Amino acid sequence: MNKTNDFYDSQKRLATEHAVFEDTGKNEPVRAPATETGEGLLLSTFTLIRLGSGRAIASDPAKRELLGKKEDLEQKIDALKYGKAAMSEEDYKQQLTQALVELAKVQQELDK
Amino acid sequence: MTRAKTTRACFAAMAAAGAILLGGGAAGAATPDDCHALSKHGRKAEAQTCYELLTQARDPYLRAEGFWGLQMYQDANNAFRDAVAQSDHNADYRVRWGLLLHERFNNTDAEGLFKEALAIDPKDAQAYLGMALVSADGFDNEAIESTDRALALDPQLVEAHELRANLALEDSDGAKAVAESDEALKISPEALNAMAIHASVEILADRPPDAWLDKIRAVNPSYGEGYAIVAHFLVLNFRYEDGVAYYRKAIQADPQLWPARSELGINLMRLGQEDEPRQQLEMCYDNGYRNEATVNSLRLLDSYKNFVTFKNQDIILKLHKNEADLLYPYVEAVIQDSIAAYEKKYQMKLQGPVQVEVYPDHEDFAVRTLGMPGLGALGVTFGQVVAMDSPSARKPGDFNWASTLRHEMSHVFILTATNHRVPRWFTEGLAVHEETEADPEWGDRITPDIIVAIHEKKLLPVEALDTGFVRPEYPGQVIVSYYEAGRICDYIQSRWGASKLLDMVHSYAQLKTTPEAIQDNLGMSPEEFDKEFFVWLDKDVGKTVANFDDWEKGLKELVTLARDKQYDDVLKKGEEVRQMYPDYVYDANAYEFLAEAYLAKENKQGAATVLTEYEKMGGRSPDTLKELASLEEDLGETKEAAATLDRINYIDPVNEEDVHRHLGDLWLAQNNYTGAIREYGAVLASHPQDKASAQFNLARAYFAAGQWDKAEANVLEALEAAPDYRPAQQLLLQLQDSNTRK
Repeated sequence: MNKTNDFYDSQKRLATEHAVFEDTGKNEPVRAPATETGEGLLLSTFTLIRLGSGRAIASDPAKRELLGKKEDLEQKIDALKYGKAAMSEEDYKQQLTQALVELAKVQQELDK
Repeated sequence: MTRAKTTRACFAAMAAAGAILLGGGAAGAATPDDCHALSKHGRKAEAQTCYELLTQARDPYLRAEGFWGLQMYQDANNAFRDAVAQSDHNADYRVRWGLLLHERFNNTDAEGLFKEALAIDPKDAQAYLGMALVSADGFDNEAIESTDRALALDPQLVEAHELRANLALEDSDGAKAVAESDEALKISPEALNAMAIHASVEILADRPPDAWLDKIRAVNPSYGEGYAIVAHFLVLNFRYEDGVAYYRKAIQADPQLWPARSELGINLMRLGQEDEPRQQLEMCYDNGYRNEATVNSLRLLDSYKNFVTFKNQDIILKLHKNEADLLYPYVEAVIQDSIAAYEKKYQMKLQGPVQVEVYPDHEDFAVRTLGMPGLGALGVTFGQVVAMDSPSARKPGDFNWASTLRHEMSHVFILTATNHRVPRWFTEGLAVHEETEADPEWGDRITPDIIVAIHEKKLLPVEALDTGFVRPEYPGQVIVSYYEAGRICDYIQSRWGASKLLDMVHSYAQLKTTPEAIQDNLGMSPEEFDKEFFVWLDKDVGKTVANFDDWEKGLKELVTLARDKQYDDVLKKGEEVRQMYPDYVYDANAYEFLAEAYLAKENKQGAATVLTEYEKMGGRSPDTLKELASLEEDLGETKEAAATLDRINYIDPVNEEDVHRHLGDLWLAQNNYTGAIREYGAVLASHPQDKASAQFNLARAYFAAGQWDKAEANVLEALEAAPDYRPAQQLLLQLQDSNTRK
């Protein structure tokens, strides 16, 4: 997305279509989730469509729980990343590592 | 003002002192000569009053001289303009105006005025002296011709004798410098610059200059220019610290001697300092002394905020922040290798770290060489400080930065080993020689210009070779002189062994001259040496020189054949052309035409073979080397492919993210984990779009090398950027498995 933005900026052109996020009710849409205002953080985690193996897994009742867990972990990782500035480096690293390891394990289970 | 500006300013000022006598006007008894005489004898207050009187004259010329003496340069310039307008046919006013502009860093307009003066009066010796001063600023050979003309017209022109002495000493001809200084002193026993040249000759020979400096002080105790002249020659002879000491004496004698203060700042920068240079240069700038060297040096100091400094016991390495992480491993390794090699070879250790500065903007590097003779096109060494172009400063393939660095590091050792008493030809020759000693593929090959110079017998006798660097007589002579000096060192090593080169280093350290160093170590006179060297060189390159005209013709035909896609003929003609001049690896070389023809005929092995020869001959086009690596891989020669790609690191490590990635892959597959770590690290330092996979590749290499902690740190960074990156997840789980780490 940055490359696309850079193109329009550098060419001084107006992008004809540009989706924005507005999920806080403040009527202040953003093009990318903003950690400063919280705008767009919720919608950036919303799954629009599942493709390929993702769709197959979603339709497998045995794996649906794992998929939910995976999505929770992904949201947790995003939240950690957005909150990085407010955390100590050590705390951030520890929590991120834990979440990433868990996510990797869940993915391993899903891939079985 | 460039390079010798302090010195030039002295000579210009003395030329000014030889002003024409023009009376009249409201200035009473004051004449420019009266004022200059007071100034010359250090009677500053009286001189000031005298010049102030001149500024009140009706005659604009006299006002110009008055303003000039009071350092009110703009007013002086305006008054000269009026004077010339009023006396259109006056050559002398134009010369004086030209000298003012020369002093104020405007050589272009100064030269124009000297030419106008000569158009009015072709026998104007002062105008020729002005022309000589302008030419001398750029170490132009015309300075000598113009000085000769000035003296032919006026043999009593003291300043021309002094300038001739100055030029002779710049050319390392001490005897001539002394003789010319004596001529000046015969005409004027108070020729201060002639005395300063005498003092310079003494100090360059490590004899006390005190007697001459005392004579200068007896005439004018505040004549800082005298010390500045000595400093100029010390710097020119690589004695930077001694030069700084004399510039300090210059500004101690005359704190308002801005050219000397500026040179002090510039030379302190060359010694790796920042704070005092800034202070000195800002003082110059604030007092209106804003020549190119002062302004650009201040700009360079400002740019240092964009540089990252790496320090260890042996090295201070300054790299631009945009490329610091990428270049550091490569540059640091070449410096360390050079130090290790030269410590062994020259049997010595450096005292203190070497500072290496790498500039991605060529103009920043060029500031370092302002006012220096020679080429200094790629790198320059000041004692233990090296400044050089970054590989990103030039078109990829223009130069092999590692070879340049190795060259400069040789200077660091040789300057130290000789206590900075080494002729230019020898330190440059040895540095060129060391490039190919480090790697036969490094160094520059014989170019068409050099071949022409050899053919026209333009190589210089060894005893005069320094002049080829300092004051070239034809375009390209500096390059030819580098080549000749390098080949002389090759010859000495091949005939007498490497130890003789070291013996010569020791001879220079003992203040021996080149004839003495050659006689003592090689057992022959310089003339005999020249004779035998030229025979040896002819055996080596004589065939190429003899073939040159045919080669040029053949290459043109080859270009046409290649353009017409007549590949059978390209293969035949290409081989002929290549054999006539195998060292030619520059633009439109036979190797690349041959490879193209082989590929057109689907003969990959043939193309790979000819491009391997190109590579061994020092060919350095990154695109051609990439093509060779690709062919080698296709032919299953993956080790050779990796080695070929690694060569590109010494040519253009900055713009080759794909090369780093691919070389990392090859080396990882070949179990060269250290190499793979460096290459994947380079990908990451190139700020790739796909940071996650770059980080993951680095993690893989660390994992393979058994460096678990670094592997984990990198895989976590990869996953932070892309949490669902499967291969990285798998590696993370492997790392988490405690069994893996056993």
